[in-house]
Amino acid sequence: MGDQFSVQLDRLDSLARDRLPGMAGALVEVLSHLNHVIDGTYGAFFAHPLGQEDVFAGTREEFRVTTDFLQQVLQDNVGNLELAALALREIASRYRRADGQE
Amino acid sequence: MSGYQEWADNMYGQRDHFLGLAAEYGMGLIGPRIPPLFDAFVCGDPDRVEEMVDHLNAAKYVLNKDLREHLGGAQLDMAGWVGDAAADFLDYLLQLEDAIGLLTECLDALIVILRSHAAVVLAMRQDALNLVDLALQGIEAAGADDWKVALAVVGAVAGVLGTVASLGTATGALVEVVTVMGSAISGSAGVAGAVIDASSELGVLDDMIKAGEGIVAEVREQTSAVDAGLRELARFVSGTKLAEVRPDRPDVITAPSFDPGSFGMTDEAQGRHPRPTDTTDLVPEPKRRPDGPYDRGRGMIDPDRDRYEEQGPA
Amino acid sequence: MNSEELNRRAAELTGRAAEVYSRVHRREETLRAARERAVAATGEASSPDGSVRVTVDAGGMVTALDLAPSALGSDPSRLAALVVRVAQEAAGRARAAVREVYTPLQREGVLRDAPVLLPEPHRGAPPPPRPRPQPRDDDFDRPVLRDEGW
Repeated sequence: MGDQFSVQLDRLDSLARDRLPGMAGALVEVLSHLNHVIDGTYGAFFAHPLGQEDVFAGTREEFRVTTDFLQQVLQDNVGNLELAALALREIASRYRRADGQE
Repeated sequence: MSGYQEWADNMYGQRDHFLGLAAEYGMGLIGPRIPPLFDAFVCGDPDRVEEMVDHLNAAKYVLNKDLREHLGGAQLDMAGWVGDAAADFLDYLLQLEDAIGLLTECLDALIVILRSHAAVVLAMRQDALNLVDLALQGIEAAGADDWKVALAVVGAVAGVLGTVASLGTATGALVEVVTVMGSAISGSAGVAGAVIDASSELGVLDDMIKAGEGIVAEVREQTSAVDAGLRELARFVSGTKLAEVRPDRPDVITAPSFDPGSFGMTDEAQGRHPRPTDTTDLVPEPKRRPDGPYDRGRGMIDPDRDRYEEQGPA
Repeated sequence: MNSEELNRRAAELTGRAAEVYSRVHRREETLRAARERAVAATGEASSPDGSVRVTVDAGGMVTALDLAPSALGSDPSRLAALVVRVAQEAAGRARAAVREVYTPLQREGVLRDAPVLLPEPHRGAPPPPRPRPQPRDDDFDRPVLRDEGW
């Protein structure tokens, strides 16, 4: 069992290599579900291609806008978590290098 | 055959029979007005909505189980790390927890919106079938001795979203969306009544078309409430609550250099181990990405307004 | 009502619409054929001695008039009266032919009203002519139609 120094670094490793990537992965899964929802847009607000009426054209457009913004929010959060994981791995690495462990 | 295909086949079958009837009666101005009516009745697919709602529920589950589990572990892992950057990172994790709650609300709001749309489509289909039923009755009655039939089309579409306004127990995005939709609905005339008064077969067809156009107008009215809900949700996630659903990048990403004192261990934990001396940037912060397809160019008032603000340096 | 229930009802209505269309189509076809037969109907009549023969179309228009040489030797006013009588008989037959087309359709309920201008065939003695209004004493030297109608 190591001292408190190595316990702290283990925690940082857990955060950088497990928790944050796990959160990003969960958000990627959420994003994948949202992408399926977006794929359904055309069908849910469908208008027959040969028809003269497109009753839900406006709703289809609003739905695309709203889901696009939600998609951007999720993508940004995933990106931030991945960057944060990289930053924390780098911090742990610098502590180890300073300690002569690497 | 999909449920939608079945519906469309029936609608187009009925359209063709009514066109045939109009042709038998001499068509006149009636014929060309029949196809647009049935084209409107085949718009929208409630079955597809259910598939989308399944995905949104699955997304909610992932947010509230997997993500929260990792988030709880992450907050525990931050124990013992001190300094401004460490506190800022812990704060970032806490903000993420709130963001999960808000994103769940957003997904709930999207479910309500989609279900409202499906309810409008189903109600339109019900009204369309009632109309066809009554028109056929009218045509059959038009051959009878009295040559008169007056039948009211009951409007299922009118007021179909009335229950949305009563979903008042929600919070966050959902309550804002529901409130906006409720206001849009209360402004609706809410009447899709129509009468088929058949003094002749052509008269029945004419009345059917007028009543059908009334149904479609009511569908558009109810749909405007769905549109209002979507706009409100878009405003919520891209404007007023963007910072809450997308917490700002923590200092460990944005700071140009690394200060071991701001993300460090307590003296007790550090002990005699040397502190890092490398103070260079931990990770380069990515530049702001280009606008999404719907960020700009909408509306006459401020076409250059960025609807969704990207993060990072320009 | 869910989409499956709506689809079931839609299928029923499509079937009903097909039946109604088919019935109306058959009826209109029958009526069209009847109209063609009625339009083509003619009536023909001859005088008892065969010297005058008239053919009339469905609209009552004389389409042929045959006069035997023997007819030309008769008194003009008698000949004219004979032609009128034979033409009226021919017109009556033309109307009867048209009626024969439509009456069964009316009985079967295919047709609600028979076409107009098809009076029932004349039966029995004609009603006596309406007496002309008699002038009253004080009507002398005044137009008799001034105060009274026909």
